[in-house]
Amino acid sequence: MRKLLYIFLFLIPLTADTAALITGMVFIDTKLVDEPSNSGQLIENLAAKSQVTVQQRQNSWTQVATATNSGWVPTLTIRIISVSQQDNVDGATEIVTDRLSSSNTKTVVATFGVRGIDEETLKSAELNEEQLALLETYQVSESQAKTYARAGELKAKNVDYFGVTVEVE
Amino acid sequence: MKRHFNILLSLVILIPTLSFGFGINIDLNKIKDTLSATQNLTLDNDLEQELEIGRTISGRLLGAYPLVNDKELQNYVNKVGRWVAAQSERKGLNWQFGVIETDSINAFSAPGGYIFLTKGLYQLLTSEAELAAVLAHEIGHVVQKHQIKILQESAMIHFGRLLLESALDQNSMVVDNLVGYGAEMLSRGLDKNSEFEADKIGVVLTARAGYNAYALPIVLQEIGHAGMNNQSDVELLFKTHPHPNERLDNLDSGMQGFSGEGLMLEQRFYRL
Repeated sequence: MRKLLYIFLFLIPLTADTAALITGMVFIDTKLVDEPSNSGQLIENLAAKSQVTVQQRQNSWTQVATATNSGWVPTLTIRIISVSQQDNVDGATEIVTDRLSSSNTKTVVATFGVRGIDEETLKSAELNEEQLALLETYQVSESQAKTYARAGELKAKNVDYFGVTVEVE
Repeated sequence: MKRHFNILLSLVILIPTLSFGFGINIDLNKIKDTLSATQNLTLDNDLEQELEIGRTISGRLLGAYPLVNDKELQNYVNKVGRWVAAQSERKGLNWQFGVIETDSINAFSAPGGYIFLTKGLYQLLTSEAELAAVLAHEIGHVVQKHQIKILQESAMIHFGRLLLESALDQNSMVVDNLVGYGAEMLSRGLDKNSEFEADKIGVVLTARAGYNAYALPIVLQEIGHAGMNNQSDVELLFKTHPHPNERLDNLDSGMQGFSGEGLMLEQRFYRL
């Protein structure tokens, strides 16, 4: 199953990564190969939980160094466990390691991504009727959406939820 | 919830008795309106109220961050979003999707079927499946009425406090207050379990729509890396969000059931 993940990895073009020293952990058994592709030659079998140093990323592959070798693993097989700069250990490292090492009791989190929207900006914002009206003009019907899906050869499937109960209205 | 309401009602009866002696002006009609609106909100099927709250919160969000001025982009996002929403248990909602003008990396949903993602997040995506996955996550919040549940709790807490402080001479009406919470919720977020739940629903809706179910894990991975590129982003990320790794771990066992079939549609993805 994990291998299927790899198949899709090459689909993600990523930009060059940070120069910070990043330590990661391979979270599943992974092959360290000599080039960033599925056809790369095996250098070393990395057992789950092996620690690596992240060197660079190229698309969906990440070059890492182990105690003895350097090579490539699929990016999705790595979990970052710490980040540090050359000169000092910054706040981010603390936060990262704290986050990963302790159970987190924080209950309020944002909805999806990395950077939050400024709370004050939102609180002071006036309701914009014009923008709401504009938003409505972009709306499409379910049948328009279906037509577009069909054009992309998307087919609806029956898939059951897992680990969550959804009530049907 | 009903018990809380009864406690509040008792307070309503008690407070005038206690407070009049101190010359505090209490508007009984306002109390009645306020409590009645709060009570109404506790009804699970009050779609009208859900829509009203969602619309007002969205209007405020758009007041702060307008829609990206690109009709083709907005139409595209609506077509993809509506298709994904059609796979959900609330397909009949008046779903509306928008990309808002900010480089922040985030996505939002408001009650009633309003879904937004930032231009910053959109620009991180590389395929239609990834877009579908982000929208599916937000659709998951609306399907589960996560925001409404939080608003209900907040409203009860808030009105309890108002009553105790005899601060009822404020002019704000219930919806205004709720919208205030909505704004806060957009910027501070939902609880962690709601996020994990929305991730799971997101994966399933993405797969139901015919896309590759791994699109959401891919986006989470990408967001994690985006965070690593900029220290200030990382700081905010870890202050207010579950780490993408944590979210990936949470999805992990459930992903075993997906074969990796489904489309990514990179070619059709509308690029900014």
